[in-house]
Amino acid sequence: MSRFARGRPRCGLLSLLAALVIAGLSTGCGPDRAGDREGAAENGRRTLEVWTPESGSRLQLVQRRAGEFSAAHPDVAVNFTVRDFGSYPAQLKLALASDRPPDVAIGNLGWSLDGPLIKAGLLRPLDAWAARYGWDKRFPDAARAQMRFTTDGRQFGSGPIFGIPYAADVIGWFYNVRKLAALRVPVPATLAELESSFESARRAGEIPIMLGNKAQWPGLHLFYLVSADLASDQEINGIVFGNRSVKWTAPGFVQSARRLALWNAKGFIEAGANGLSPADALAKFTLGSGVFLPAGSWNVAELSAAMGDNVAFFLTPPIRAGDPRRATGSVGYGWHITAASRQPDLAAEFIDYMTRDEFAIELVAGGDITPLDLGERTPQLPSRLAGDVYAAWQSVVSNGTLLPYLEFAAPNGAEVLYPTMQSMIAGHETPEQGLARIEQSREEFLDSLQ
Amino acid sequence: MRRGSGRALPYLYVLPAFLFFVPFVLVPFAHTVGLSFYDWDGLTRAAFAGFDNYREALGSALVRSAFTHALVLILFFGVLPVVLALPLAAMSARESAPAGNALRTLIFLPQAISTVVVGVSWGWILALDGPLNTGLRALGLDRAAIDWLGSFAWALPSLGMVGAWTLLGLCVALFFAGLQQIPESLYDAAAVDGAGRWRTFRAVTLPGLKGPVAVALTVTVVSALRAFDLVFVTTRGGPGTETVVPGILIYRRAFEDARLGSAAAIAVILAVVVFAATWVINRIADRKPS
Repeated sequence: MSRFARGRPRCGLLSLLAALVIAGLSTGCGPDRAGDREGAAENGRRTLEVWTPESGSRLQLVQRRAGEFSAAHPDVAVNFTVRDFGSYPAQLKLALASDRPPDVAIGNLGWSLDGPLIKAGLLRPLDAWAARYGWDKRFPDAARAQMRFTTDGRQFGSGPIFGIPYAADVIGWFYNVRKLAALRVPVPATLAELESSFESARRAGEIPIMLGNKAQWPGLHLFYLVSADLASDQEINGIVFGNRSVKWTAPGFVQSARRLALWNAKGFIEAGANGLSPADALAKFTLGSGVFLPAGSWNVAELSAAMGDNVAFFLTPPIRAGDPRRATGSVGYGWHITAASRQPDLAAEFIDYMTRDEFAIELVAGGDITPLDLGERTPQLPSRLAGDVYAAWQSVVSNGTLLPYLEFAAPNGAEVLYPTMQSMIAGHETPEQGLARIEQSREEFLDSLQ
Repeated sequence: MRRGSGRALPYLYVLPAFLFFVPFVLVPFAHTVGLSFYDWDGLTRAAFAGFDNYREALGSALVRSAFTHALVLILFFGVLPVVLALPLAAMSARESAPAGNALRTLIFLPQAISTVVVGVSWGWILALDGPLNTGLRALGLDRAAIDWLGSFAWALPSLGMVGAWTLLGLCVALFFAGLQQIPESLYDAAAVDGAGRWRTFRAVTLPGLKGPVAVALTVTVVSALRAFDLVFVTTRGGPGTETVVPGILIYRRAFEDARLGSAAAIAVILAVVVFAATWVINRIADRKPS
């Protein structure tokens, strides 16, 4: 900012104005707060500044655990700054680039947030602490690439560890148990069975797939449920981790997009999806509209609270019965130590405390899923739905069939990827045209990194 | 103003407004213009990019379509309300005071509602199972019941109609105030000359409303060009990119994609278009009748 604010006032009036503005600014951001931290340090008390975009029950869990950390370290206070998920990236960037950056912050995977921060040198590589606390071995293989970035911020998936995850997510199909039973259709075990259950639902006058695609990203999440069967590991990982020999126009993606357009043409997808917000679609599903709801595991608490045992979950069934299921998910965004933190050892100790088994147990007991293998320490799950999701997650982790989110590949989601996906699903654009445009935008981004 | 009262005096009158205008409008605008010549992610060092951001913006099909959408919105936000408001204002001026007041209050009401509330309400009205479609189906027009804001063909016109509904009240209020300024004697003269309603409207009312029409067009055209809130709340630019407007692109590039230079370049182009549009409107309004 300072680079551009360096105006050169030519006349007296302007310099007077500038002086007034500067005076106003300096009284506005008074020095009272700047003294806080040092004052605290003098009293022998240290304050760990932490930023998070969490909300609801996860935020409560995080804050409770942080309170326990403070209780165990009487000289340490943890001060949270909470911002809503939507505006968090923009605000965190400003906070990290400011004179008073936090010590610890939650990021987001790939180019959505971590990439630009690492490229700007605002986050610290954690390898030294990873060895000390065993972070490099604590998480499943599928998670390891997602924790890494090269120090120049140009390559996602390799280089040192930058983020330590604490929760997980996976995308699959929620379904209305009573509606599926009324159709006399078994829970689908193959992709063909899934498609024939859509057909049965449509014939019975039901909406097969409830989707709220006004926000445009839910269409991509539906795409994941198809590409899980139709795109190869090499295609998906190639896109996400910046391998230029792999393109969005690869056969697996073309077939996936074609299949979605076909589903839409056959009337399998809610007709008003484009005008419906994801939250409204979820609400309609809980009220009995739609047999299937394609969505992420983060909706478990809300769905089981509204539908009880009438809602269950499965991952996209394989093409061949009995094959292991593949699914898009992640070990979630991680904790980071900022480059500017003057107490990185304390920050690392905090992060370790926040990502241990004890936290994971509380998370799972609340119906969430964890990147850790809890084995015998797995707590009682709070609902049938939570049980389904937990088992599904465990299966992709142990089978090594967890796939990364394609949207981590580039920051062009809102401008190109999501709207194009929506156009292709609606048949407004052919898969070949749409995917070529997405690929072009990705290549422009990869070029810009050079 | 009399000559000799000091050349500085007019400037002194302008000074208070100028004191606010400089730091809150001119300086940020100059800052934006400066930014538009850089490649900057908001974090790392900016690199001078010359006209690259402008070249990219003008060459991009998406940016061009955003401006095309804004032009379509001008028809709905500007032309339509002005055309509808003229007879409405004339009608309400002829009504008895209570009825005319009630009519104008009713039409003006949307102006008093926050755009976000307008967007959310219309999103609900225009939904596939919303009241509009329920009404159409009740009339037997099942085929006309569509997902208005989710349709590739109808999303932009639907947004335009919502904007027209919002701005109609403003135009009526402006024209009604303008009508009060037209001396009654002109109408009497027209009546004596045997002019009919249409003739009176063309010869007396319309010329008398030239000023308010120019003001109304300026306000509505500018609001069409800088439309953001209504689009963001109702469609987010979708379906596909059918309702993407310059404001949406500026927001995404600046705050989501971290391409501040590119966002600034689009903002500058938008500002130039706004200046040009207001200049044209005012030139036409200032023209002496031939």
